[in-house]
Amino acid sequence: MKILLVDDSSTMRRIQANTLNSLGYTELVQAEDGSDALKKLAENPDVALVLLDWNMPNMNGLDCLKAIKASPTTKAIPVMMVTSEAEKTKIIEAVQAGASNYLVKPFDADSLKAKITALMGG
Amino acid sequence: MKAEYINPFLKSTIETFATMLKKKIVPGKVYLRLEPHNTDISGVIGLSGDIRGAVVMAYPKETALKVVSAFIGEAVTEFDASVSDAIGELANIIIGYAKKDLTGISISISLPSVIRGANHLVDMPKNAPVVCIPFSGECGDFVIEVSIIEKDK
Repeated sequence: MKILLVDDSSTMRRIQANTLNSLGYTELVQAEDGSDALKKLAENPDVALVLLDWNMPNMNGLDCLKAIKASPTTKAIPVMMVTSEAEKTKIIEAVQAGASNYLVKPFDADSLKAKITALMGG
Repeated sequence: MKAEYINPFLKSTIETFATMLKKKIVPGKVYLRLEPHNTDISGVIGLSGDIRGAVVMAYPKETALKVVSAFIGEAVTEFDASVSDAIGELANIIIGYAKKDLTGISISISLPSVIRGANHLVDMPKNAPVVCIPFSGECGDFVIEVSIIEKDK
């Protein structure tokens, strides 16, 4: 199963990749902002899950989420926001835009594992 | 500067280190900065909205390497751009998480900037006090500097 990691921080992508690898998910694609994510999705139509940061340059995570959900080819892909935006209004905004789940930074590896397992039914 | 502006940063730092780095850190006595610290790497986040200012997380090199190693779960020995990225992301997480406890005010935070270089100084606006929160722990010592001006002042 291919997973797209979207975060402007290479550190955060590395932390997430390490956790996903430990879960057995080794097919990972990485993008450094929202517009890069849309490009990577077009290049990788078999992506099954997107982990999406919110605050990024060029195109932020919310706009990227809206673009994913507006496209017939990508709208069925589950998107989990992984972000430091912890306010309830932000979480509601993301869920209303189509986010399947929401993980607030700081998080521990077990929380990330549990959310991904729940989303993918593993 | 009001204590309610400082406590969220203190709490968020302790919680983030416990959750993501699995490291216990202990805050020291908060003090007012009279002279800039010499430091080796600084993660800087700007604040805007109902208040404006900046938060700087300042680390000596040895502390930064231990903090980043714990953060990403791999031993890091080179003091390079990947360390800067990690220090910036850690600042972003800590300041972002502190926002939820800054209740009653609207705040936006900037994307992180990082300054890396031996013994650099980070100057803050002259008209705002700079409150320093020192921390110590098994990664070493570091300081968070908070400078906030209320918008109507």
